Amino acid sequence: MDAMRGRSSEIGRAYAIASKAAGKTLPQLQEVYAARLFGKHFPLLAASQQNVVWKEIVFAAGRPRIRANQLARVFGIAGRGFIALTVTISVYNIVTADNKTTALANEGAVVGGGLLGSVAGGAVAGLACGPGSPVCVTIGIFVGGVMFAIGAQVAFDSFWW
Amino acid sequence: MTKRSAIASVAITSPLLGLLAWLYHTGTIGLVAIAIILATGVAFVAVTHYFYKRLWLDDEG
Repeated sequence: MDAMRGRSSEIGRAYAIASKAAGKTLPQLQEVYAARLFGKHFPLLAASQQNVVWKEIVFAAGRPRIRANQLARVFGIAGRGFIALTVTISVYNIVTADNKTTALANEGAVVGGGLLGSVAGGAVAGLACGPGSPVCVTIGIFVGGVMFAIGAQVAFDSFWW
Repeated sequence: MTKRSAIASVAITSPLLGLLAWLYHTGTIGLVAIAIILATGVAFVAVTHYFYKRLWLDDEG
C-alpha cells in the first residue's frame, strides 16, 4: 500500500491516508460484507455463509479500489492536460512577442517557477499539515505555485534589463 | 480538518495574502487580479476536494 502511495501525488497520498486513517474493526467488516453478500446481519448467517464473509474480508484486504485508481488516473491526465495548456499559452506568447529571447526567458521563469513552487508548496504543506490532510496540502500546492510564479515574474521584471 | 491542519492552512496562506497585498500596494496588480487569483485557488481546492470526497471516499468498504 505504501509502495502504491509513493507513486501518488501529494494530494492523492493525503486523501489515501485520510481515508484509511481509522481502520474498520472486524465486526464492522463482517456487517458490511454480510449485508453486501447476503443482505442479512452477520450473526443471522449460517456457518457456511459466515465462512464466505470471512473469506471475502481476507480477499478484499489485498484488492485495490478500482474506482480510486480510475479517479487517480483521470486526475493525472487532467494535470498533464493543464501543463500542456500552460506550455501552449507560453509558446503563443513567445511566438507573438517582438523580442522572442526575452519572452522565452520570461515564460520559462514563470512556468518553471510555478511548477517548482507547486512541488515545494505541496511538500512543505505535507510536513506542516501532518499526514492525511488533503485540503491543507491542496492549499499548499496552489499557494506555492502562485507565489513562485509571481515571484519569478517580479524578479524577472527587476533584473532582466 | 484537524486543528493542526487548520493552523497550517492559515500559516501557508498568509504569505500569499501578504505578497498580494504588497503587489497591490506597489500598484503592480489590481483588485480584480487579486480576486481572480483567490477565486481560482478556492475553486481549485473545492473541485479537488469534491471529486475525491464524493467519488473516492464514498466508495469506502
